[in-house]
Amino acid sequence: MAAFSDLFIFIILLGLGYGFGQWAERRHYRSIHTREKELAGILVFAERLPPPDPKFKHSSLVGGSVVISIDYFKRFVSLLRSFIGGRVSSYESLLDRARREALLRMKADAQAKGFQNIFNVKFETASISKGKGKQIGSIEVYVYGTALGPGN
Amino acid sequence: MPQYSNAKLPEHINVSKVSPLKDFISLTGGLLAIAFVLAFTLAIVGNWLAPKIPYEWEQRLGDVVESTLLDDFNLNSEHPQRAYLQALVDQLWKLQLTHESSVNTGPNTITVHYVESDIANAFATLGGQIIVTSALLDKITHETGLYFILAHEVAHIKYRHPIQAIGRGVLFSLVLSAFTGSQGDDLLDHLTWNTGSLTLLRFNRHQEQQSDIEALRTLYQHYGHTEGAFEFFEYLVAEEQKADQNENQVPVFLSTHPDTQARIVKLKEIAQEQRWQPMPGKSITLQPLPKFE
Repeated sequence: MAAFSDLFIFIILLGLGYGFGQWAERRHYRSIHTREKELAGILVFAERLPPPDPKFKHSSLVGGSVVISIDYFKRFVSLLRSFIGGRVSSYESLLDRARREALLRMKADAQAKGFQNIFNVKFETASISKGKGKQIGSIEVYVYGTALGPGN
Repeated sequence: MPQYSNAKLPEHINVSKVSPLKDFISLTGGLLAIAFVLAFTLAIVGNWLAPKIPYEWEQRLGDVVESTLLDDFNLNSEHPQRAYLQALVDQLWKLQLTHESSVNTGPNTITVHYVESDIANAFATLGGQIIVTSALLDKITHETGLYFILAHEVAHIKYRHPIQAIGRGVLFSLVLSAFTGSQGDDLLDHLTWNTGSLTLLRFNRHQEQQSDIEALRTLYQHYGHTEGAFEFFEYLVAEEQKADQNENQVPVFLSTHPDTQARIVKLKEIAQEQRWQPMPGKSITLQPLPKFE
């Protein structure tokens, strides 16, 4: 009977993970889409050396970071996936959301400082909580770059 | 800087379109199917290998089991009940060895342990050992009933069911740890172990039936009839019905023994087919169990 109650708890956790995880993800994507439109005017570039432009008088380091946790359901799915391989789709959306969110925060930072262009943009990714069995619990994405422009 | 712009990436470039629920269902279904096939194969391999294990090896495990039993149950060999049970088992063992058997090695003698307990039970374990609880002797009133239970347990040992059960279990956990060991995730270990123990009962139904039939045959050989053999089963049925009323029923799938009522019916049929019945006109008197101090 103990096995039954364990299974029951496990299924409840899976259900909660699925419910809240999907809800949070949908909400987050909605917010990402609107903010991406709002901040579309701030341009980001991977180039280390910007083209010479008389507008670029001031520079500043801008950055944005985010920490997102995976839900119980997706973690379990990724665990199952690790047996047979293939695209870990449950982690894909996690990382996609984190990258886009971090980029948006960096853009917001640049906007607040009065810049329109960010060069030399780089991404750093770290897994934070390594739970039991080294399962990745949550990830941090940090995006930074050099904002150039007339400045405030 | 008019020559520069940031293109908007289409959605689903970095994220696959698969719904997580669909992913989950296909993965769980597939992996469960593989697990069941694996469990099935292992069970067959285990059954095939186990009787080939020399009895001396089993004896070593049996010694370990015995010392654990001694610690756990505070066994006392001084009980008069133990001597009585031992005498019955010795007699049974001699009888059963005269039957044809596919088993080539086995213990020379079977040891009975008598345990004070509120739960009526008897079970066979490694190293030719049988454990009988005091409650079992309380519930059974006639010798034939007890004889059948003991014959059933002796038959388990004769067919080497304990080593088969252990063999399968060991094989199974070995393969499981090979799979999950590197992963080391407690949750998965736990889950796979549960599925594993569901498919691998202590003794499976086939083994139980094999022992039942052997016990019936021994009973007929000894008494010339099989009346009163199912005394303990009938007690179990009554208990199950009581439990039903309390809504504490254990599903058949989860219990180590087949549904008791079905088991009695099946065995009565077999007894009829094999004509393990008394001579017509011969009256049967069941001998009551001796009274112990």
